[in-house]
Amino acid sequence: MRSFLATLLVIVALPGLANAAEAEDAQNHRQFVANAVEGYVRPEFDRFAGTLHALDDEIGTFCTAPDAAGYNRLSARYRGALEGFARIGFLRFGPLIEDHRLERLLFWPDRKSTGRRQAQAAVRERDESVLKVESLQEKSVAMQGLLALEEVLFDDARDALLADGEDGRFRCGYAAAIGANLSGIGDTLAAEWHDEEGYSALLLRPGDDNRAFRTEQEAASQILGGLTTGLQIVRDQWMRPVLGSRPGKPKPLMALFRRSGNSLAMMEAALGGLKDYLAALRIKPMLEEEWVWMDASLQFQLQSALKVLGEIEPPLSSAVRKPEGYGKLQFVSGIIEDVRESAGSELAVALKIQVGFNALDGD
Amino acid sequence: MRLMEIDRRALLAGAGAALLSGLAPRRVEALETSETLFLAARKEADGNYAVVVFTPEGRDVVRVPLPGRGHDVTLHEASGRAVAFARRPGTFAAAFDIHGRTEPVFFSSPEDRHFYGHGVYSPDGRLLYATENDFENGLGFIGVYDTSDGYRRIAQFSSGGVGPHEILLAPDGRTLVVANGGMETHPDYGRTILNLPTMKPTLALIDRMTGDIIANHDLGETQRLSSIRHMTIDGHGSVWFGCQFQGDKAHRPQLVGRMKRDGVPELLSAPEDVLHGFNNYIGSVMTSRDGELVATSSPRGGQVVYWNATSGKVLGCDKVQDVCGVAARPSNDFLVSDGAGELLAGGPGHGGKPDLIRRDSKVSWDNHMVSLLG
Repeated sequence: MRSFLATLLVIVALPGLANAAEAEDAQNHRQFVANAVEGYVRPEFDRFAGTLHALDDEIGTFCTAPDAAGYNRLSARYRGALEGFARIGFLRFGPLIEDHRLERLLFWPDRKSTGRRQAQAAVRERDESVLKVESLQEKSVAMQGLLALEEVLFDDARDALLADGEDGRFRCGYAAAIGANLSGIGDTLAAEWHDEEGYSALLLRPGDDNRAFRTEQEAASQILGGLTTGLQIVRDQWMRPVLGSRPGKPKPLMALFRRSGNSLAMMEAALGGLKDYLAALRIKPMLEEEWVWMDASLQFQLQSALKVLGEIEPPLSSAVRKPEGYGKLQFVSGIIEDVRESAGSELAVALKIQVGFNALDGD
Repeated sequence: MRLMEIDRRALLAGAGAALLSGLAPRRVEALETSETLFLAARKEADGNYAVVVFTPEGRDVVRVPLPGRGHDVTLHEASGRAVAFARRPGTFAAAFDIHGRTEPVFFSSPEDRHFYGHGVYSPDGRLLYATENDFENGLGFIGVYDTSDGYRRIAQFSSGGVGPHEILLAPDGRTLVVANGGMETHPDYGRTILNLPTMKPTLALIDRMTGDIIANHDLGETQRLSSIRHMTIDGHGSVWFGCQFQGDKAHRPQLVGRMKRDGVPELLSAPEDVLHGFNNYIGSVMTSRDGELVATSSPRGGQVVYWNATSGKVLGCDKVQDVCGVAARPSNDFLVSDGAGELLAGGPGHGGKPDLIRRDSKVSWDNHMVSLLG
């Protein structure tokens, strides 16, 4: 009788246990998403909007009275905006991918240098439609963002800008329109992420009537995807093209923002951002004992990648021509792939976020 | 019946020497009791890849190791010819005999091209049409291969768009139907989409004799981000297609459509619940044996939805995690495969409870599956 009762108790208790475990998973997933949104996404989009306004303002200041010191300040602001972008550019869900905002900020990869060629042509032909933000927004997305701005303000443009002649003034006008376009997008992104009824509400409040996420796990999967996508972008879109497909045969001309000397700064900012994103997720309390090591391990690998990246002497396009620089970039690229693998498989399992063989990277 | 095993090193070295070994007696028996066969690519327990021919019970009868991850398998029923393609952006294809009577033939896409994972045979089985990407120029092509000459590439023509994916032959035996996914990729950047702001997917009808593009349909500006990828032709000759939406999850557009004979493509109306279950992604589209049912699977949503081919209405749905392959069964339902090594029988008649046929959790079934109905 006692054993019968015990059996009965087990039978009754098991569904209860399963429900309790499910509830705990859901609670963890909810916390995971909230940590991301509040601890990283919102503050970073605010910061990014700030860097774009600083850039926009500096374009105005410099163009009023162009001089060498002002040009240096402008260069620093530009770099700040690129770094700001690198820290949010991997959050490819919600506001950033609406209305092609991502591509309006940065059209990359740009295999055929569409942005540069179109921006060049606009300057050469004095295309007045690029001088107003409204008409600029009607043009190719590649002409509207950070990469087009590099063509307008950097590369060989310095002398023309400092000479303050017709060419320089046209460039200033085009840059001002890009600056206004960028800061407008930055403000919209920040505002949408803060909108309590907007996209973040979808992430933070999954449910049957939620058009994007029915369960906490689906929302958490989107957040974890930010990490793996980010690592993939840095490696596949920024590093591997420079390393080339044959070992030891670099393609320095493939480096993103090579012409303004910002390739390494972008990579460092992106990796730093991904490291901070992971830290903001605060996964440790969500991991069962056998997986607790993952948190520190992933952080450590990203830290190592950052350290080695920091040892490469800028500019990247020169550094990778030498075996030492090439080897270091290759090493960093390898670590990133390892972290991505771990994050997409082991970490997903540890966090009870399902990622399938066919679902992970579809066809 | 023979089991084909190819030495992996020999294969990678390009020698292609095949080692043939006999089937275990149990398997021969299984084969003799059934005429229906299924074909699919999968990831094996040891992490390598293969394409297999297997019985309705899930027993392998022919196995051809692949040098990398496979995608679809194309079958010419009368001759028993089949070819497995590399997953995009791969460059290999493996042609084999589904009864293992001849050694497999491996061939590659030309330089500056990669395969897009799908192909189709001419009615006589002599020619193979494969979707290809000219990645330097971002243009889609159909490569024509001569099966009687070691799958030598003998011709090519435009696919009518960018990123051609699945290709089918219309019931007239002459018109090729091509799903141009619209997405440009280049090996320098892996699977990154390079043309999101300008992508334009199309359904192209091409005369296989001349390469002329007879019609090239799109879904309109509002559906520009819905990449048309997979198709089937139902018993009425209508082309069914499934899309993969490239925008955010906050949007849940219709993904399954139908193009009637001499008509234009039209999206069907699935209820909101079904749309959510697709998670903006259709993986496989397949017609039932009688041509009156169409199955559409979504690995990202973990669901297979069954449609009435005549009315265009949803009949039912099975929830299977990481599901993708669907193939017609003789019983007019579907064999369904997933990434967890499961083979299941599903369909509107199963009441949302597909029956497990076999599970081998060490393998992962790849996206597509086809059947040879006995």
